[in-house]
Amino acid sequence: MTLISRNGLTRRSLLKTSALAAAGTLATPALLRAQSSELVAGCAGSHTAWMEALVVPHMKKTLGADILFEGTKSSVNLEKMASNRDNPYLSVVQMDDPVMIQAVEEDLLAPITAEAVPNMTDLRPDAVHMDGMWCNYVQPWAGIAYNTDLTEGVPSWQALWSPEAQGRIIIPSLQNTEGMWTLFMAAMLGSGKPFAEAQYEIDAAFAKLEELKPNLLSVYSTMSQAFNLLEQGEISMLSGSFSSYALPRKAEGVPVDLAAPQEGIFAMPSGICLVKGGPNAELATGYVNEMLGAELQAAIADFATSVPANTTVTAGAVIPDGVQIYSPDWAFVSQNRREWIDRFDKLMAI
Amino acid sequence: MTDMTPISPADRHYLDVWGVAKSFKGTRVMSGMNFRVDRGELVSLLGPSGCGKTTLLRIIAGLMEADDGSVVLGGRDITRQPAHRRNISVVFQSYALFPHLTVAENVAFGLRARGTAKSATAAPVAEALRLVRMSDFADRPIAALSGGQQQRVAVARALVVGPDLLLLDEPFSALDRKLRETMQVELKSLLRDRGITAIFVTHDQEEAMGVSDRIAVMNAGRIEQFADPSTLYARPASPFVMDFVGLSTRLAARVTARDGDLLSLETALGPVRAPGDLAPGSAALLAVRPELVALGQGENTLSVTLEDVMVLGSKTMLHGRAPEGDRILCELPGIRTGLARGETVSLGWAVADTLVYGVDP
Amino acid sequence: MTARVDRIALLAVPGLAYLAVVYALPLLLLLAKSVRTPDGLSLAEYGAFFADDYNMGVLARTLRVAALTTLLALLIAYPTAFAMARARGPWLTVFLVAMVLPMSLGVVVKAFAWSILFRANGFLNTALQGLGIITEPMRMLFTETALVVGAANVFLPFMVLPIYAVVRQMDSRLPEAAASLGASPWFRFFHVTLPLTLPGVVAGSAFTFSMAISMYVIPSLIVGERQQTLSMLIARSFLYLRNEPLGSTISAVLLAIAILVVVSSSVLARRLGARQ
Repeated sequence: MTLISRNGLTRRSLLKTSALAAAGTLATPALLRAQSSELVAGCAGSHTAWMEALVVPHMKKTLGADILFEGTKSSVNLEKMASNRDNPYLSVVQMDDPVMIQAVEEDLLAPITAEAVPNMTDLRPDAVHMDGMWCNYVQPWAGIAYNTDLTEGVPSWQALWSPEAQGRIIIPSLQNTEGMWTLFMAAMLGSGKPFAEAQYEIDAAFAKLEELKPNLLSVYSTMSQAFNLLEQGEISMLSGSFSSYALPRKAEGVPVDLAAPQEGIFAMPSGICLVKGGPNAELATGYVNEMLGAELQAAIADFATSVPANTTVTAGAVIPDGVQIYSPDWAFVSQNRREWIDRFDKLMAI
Repeated sequence: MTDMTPISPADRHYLDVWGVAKSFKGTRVMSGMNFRVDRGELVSLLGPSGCGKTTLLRIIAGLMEADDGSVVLGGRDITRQPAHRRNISVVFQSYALFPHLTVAENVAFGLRARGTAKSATAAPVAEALRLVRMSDFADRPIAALSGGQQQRVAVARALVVGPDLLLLDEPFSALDRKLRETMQVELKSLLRDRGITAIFVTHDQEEAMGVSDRIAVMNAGRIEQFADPSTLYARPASPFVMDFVGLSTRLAARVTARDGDLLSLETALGPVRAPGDLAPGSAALLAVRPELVALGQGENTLSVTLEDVMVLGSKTMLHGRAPEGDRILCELPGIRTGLARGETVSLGWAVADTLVYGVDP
Repeated sequence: MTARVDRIALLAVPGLAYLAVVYALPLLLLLAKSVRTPDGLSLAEYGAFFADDYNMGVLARTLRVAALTTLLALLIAYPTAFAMARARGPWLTVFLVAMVLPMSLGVVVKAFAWSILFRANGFLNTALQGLGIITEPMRMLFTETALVVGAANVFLPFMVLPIYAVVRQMDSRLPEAAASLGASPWFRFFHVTLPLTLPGVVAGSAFTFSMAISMYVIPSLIVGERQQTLSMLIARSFLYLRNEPLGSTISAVLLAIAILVVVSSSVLARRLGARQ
């Protein structure tokens, strides 16, 4: 996490911000206002590596801007935006689509337009959401990560339920976006319907998930820890794992691989949005434009083994052949997620 | 290890500390320590700090293990016994009363530790508190007591269990002078009346002389002299004992001649004669107690210039001018006037009162 | 005289102001949320919280884990405090550094270290199998036992240091006096040493217990989402369920427990202190 420590501080803004901090908001480090050449971006913790290596130098070069970023979970980014609604310090936020929908509902976002962000026109049509409230920039794909010393591959999602896997798998919590993949696959396998219909069969999904319990070593909310256990061979499979994390680890020679089982894989919903009333609006649109541009898309897609949304780019991860890639109805997810989380936690409780 | 022969039954004493040695971190602080006490005796271990008196007390109490030697109490070898099986009570310098217990609970502690039922402790505790005149304080917390009261409680706590031996580590040092003297008299008669065998550890010679039948003067891990107070004072066995017990004139001297038991010596202030057993030519230290010195001629006489005249009420102390390291003292009874600093007087004393110690050159 | 006392009292102002602004004020706002409903003030959230079996299970686990953590930390800390009080010179430094240094190590790092210890092929399982105590690897990761062991490790200094402070102040003559009065080692421990060190035990236990009931990162890392504690429930309410009244209610319950522990322990400590 990068702390903001330069000034541009007036007494009034200090009073205002301390009052805000005192008012029980999440303890944000951004007590100070950014200078005109500074831009504060919210992003995911897993973005930190490429934000530092690629985005910060790129923005300095092209926009002359100093990017300060805070990497955390999507829901924490949402909470930061909501708590500072009257006096936002974040200008741009990179977070997951279902949380984007919540942010739109809470009226926290400003739309992205092709006039201000020309590179938007090069995106795949399905990468622009709700008339430009947010866009996908690069998207990792998600399947099942497995330890290559213990398993030869994962041909089907059914492998998660196999008796041999007893106590040897970990799945993400529904608090994490990647937790949805196990839920939707359980819906498909449980209902026997194709994904488009199955994604609404939530009771079938939970019934199937209940059968998974004997195989679960744990349910994670911190992915790195769970992935470490996979690398160490404590578990054989990690459900919902995605290419931007798993494949670079594989490339480093760790005995793990990411499987694309026959039933299909999922596109991680990495979105970028403008914060409504966020400081330095012009710099913010410039930042988004660069994030959607060919040069940076290619670099990030390569760095993070992801699929670029800009159609003029050919770099990055290749989606495995002959496997269906799904993108769920995020509006439905967003509408029901709280209830699912509660139900999931109670179902999985020991 | 001077005496390795077994003790014959006839020699057996109530307390027999024999051949005890102790080292701390490789430094030997005590070796071949022999120390014997008879039943009912009140004995003091007297010496400066670091002389080993507390070490010896702790070894006897079982609070410290000796490296070598043995401790026998009443015919029972307790060398290897832990403190709580020895039936030796200790009164500590700080009293070490239990701050979380009341006065009565403190006194009852030893009885309870020995398995006495709570109800059965009431009578002996009351009796012990009566003995030390603390009956009215039975239910008070320790923190509410004065130093003298705490000491009484500590004594009651130590005595109520009927110890075979009572050890007291500087028991009066925390009290002011007046209270100390009162407590000494009280405690001595209490121990006498009950026939308790007790060992006091102290660095205060007046205290030792006041409370003890015998005093062991200790220095550097050894007992220099173990004798009754009057012998110790009148016939100190070494310059150390002489200096530690009371004041005295001391003069560096050389033996000039010897006639039987009578030595002739030369000092910086003139010739002196003394009984002794030293060869002519040898270096000596000569001493005489100040109250044995009088104004005017004596068997030994020195002409001395007065350096100071101190009127102390019951006595007057004259300090004579002496060379570096020497000291001349004369104590006269009552208040003496008419003597002034700078005046030259004759000081005389008997040959028999003169003490002589050989000095290694 | 009055003026001087007042001036000294002024020294407390920065601390009190700091606490008021960054602690008391947000806390009050938080608590207000737990009783404020669209229909006015109500305790309905509390009723709903206590009526839910899942929540009761989490509450019971939180209290059980905190109690076991406190007990384990106490069993380890008590002899350690005595060893420290006896240590001199470089040894004391070694002890203090060993106590304080791990505090600077993040819990996340520690959690990774523990997973090495608790894995199926980890140190503990290998050792137990090597000793022939177990034949099959025991599941230790993601168990309550691992959580208690890990939490006790993190909070150990907060148990050791108060006990150490009391032990160091204790007159070493007191156990000796007890021995000379015929008290066996057991009797000495239960009638002298333990009662005299009890204030330290109470203080350390209160510290440890109140930290253990509110711990969040340690259970998230060691047992994960399947065995939630009150703090995890709070985070989940605010961040994922976006249910502020529920989060505030659980916070209030947690706070009430913590206040109960702190108040009763200080009453107990004062009573013990009054006797001394």
